[in-house]
Amino acid sequence: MPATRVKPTKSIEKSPTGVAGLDEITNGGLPHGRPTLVCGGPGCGKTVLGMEFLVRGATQYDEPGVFMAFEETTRELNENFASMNFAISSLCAQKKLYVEHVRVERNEIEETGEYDLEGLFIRLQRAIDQVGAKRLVLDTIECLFAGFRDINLLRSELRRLFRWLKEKEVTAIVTAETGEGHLTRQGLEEYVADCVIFLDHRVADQNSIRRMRVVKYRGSLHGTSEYPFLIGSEGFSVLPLSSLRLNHKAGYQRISSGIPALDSMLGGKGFFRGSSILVSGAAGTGKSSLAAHFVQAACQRGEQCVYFASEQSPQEITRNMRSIGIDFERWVRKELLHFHSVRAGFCGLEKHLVMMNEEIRKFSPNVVVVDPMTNYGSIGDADEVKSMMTRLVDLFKSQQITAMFTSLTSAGHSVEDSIVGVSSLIDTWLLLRNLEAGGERNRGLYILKSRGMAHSNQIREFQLTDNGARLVDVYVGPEGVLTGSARAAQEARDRAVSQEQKQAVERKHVDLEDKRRQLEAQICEMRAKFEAEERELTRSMARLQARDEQTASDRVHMAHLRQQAGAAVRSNGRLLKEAV
Amino acid sequence: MKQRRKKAAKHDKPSPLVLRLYVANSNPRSQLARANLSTFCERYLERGYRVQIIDIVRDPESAFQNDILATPTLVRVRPSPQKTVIGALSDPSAVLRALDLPEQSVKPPSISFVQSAGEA
Repeated sequence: MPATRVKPTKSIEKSPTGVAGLDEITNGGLPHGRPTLVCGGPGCGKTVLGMEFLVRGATQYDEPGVFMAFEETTRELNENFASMNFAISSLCAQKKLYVEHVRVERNEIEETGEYDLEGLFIRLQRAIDQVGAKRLVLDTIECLFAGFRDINLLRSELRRLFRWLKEKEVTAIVTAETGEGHLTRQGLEEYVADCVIFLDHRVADQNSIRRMRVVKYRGSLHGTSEYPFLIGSEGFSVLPLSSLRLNHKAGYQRISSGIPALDSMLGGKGFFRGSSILVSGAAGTGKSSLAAHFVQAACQRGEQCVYFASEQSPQEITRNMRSIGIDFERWVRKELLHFHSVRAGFCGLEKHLVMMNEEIRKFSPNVVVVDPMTNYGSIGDADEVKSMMTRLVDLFKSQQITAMFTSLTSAGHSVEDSIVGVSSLIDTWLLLRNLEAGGERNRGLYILKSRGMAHSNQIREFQLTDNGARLVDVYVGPEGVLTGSARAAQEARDRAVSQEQKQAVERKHVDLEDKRRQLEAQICEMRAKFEAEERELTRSMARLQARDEQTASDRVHMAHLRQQAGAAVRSNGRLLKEAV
Repeated sequence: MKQRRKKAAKHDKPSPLVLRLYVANSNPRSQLARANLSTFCERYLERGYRVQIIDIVRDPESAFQNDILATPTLVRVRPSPQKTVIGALSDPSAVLRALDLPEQSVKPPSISFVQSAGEA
């Protein structure tokens, strides 16, 4: 019995657009061989998107394209795209692109009786045959509605057109204007059911905001959010939320913060590569200096680094950092460090985001610094800023870029308030604090959090010296936490006290030594006395013994003499003994 | 039909009126337009006009050059300015208006116009 086998379902084939970011949010491109509807208000970039789709197709994917312009003439198109780096006329000359203007003028045409749009079909076929087109753009097909009176006929012809496009297997973009309550004025979304992309261009707080949304993509996974995009000289640049899922790689590699003492506070090794670091603190707490150390360490490792500054010019930063012994100019010359200085208010959040994205694309840095991120808070409401920051953090993480953000906390606000809602996105949060005491201000640093690593809970004094930043243990004593000169004074006092104690001990030691010497002298003296007495005694005893011996010998001699004397001596023997 | 017309035009005195009908070969509407145009010309036009019929299926280049979208399309090429009317030409007075021709030259109707492709 044959085993039943489930055939793998073939997902729909896609044509990569080559448009930066669009392929990511559409998960690979537009549906291959089918029409896609691109709708939006006037000036939202429909034509640019269409043209870029063709230009990229011709240059990057070897798919020639046809641009059918219903609004603009070929000359106008050429002029309009002259400011962009789209080599339209040269592509046309190489037979990779074919641009045709279809003139639709209502006033000149009378209608009587039934007709169809066979002319359009024939012209499309002719255009496709000119270059062997695989891609086609109809911009804006709704112009037809202005040219013909019979709406029902037009609708059935459009339906036929979209069927025809599918049969021809050209990947097409059909553009349309947004209508009241509908995606398009003429309800074209009914015909083009496979993929619908909506472009939006609005102005909020005098800032132009461009957004893109994939409204519908039959048979494919796609990002559903509104994605900011920008039209620059390189064409479209869509900034995706970089991924639909949270699937950042998480490495264990650690990189130095540039300050050895800070590294040791962070489990001895520094930050995780690819993590996001927030440095927050009030004005003048040394945020930029901390960031500068981080940058310097990266450059010393030979890594690429992009410094996004929104407050200072590169020259100012370079000058200011020289005062703490950091030479940025050297790294800029070595093309390791790249500055991107743009005032926050210069453009909208999206544009900033897109510009940052472009910089990252350009340099593919290992390390970035955003200094300060709080400035962007002034150009959008909290939600927008949060969304931008989420995207930014996401963007960096997805590319394994270690990012350091500095955040300015305004006076009167808790430090933890700094940049609402972003803190949860951050892996390591360093707080810099002004410690005011004894008529002076000192900087304190501590780690508020650092995910995935053991980290110090101690407050350190953060000193900026000519040779860079230094972290010093703060003085914690009975009088509380002391920093700066108070710490120095306390340390001096402590030193004095200990000196005194040391001296006292030394004195005691000398005294004791004296006493020992005295004692030993006494002992010597007594021993000498004793020895003298002992000697005397020995001498007396010797004398006595000598006398005894003398006496004995005398007696013997006497006895001898008495024996010589006779009997008298014998009878008086006892008497003589008693006398001795 | 085309050949006959061309021949007729050749033998006539030169006239300022030149009409051009763009059709899509097998299309029923185009065939209807041809029939209607032929009747129209016989009924409403003085001799000395010229009619060209162009099949854009065989000649796509002319559709491109003359900006033809709809078929059938009738164009008054001369005298200028150019006038255009699209459709199966089922209403002769509308065609007259569109081509900017005087109504008074209308002869009494001898043939009835075909109204739609189905009846053709």
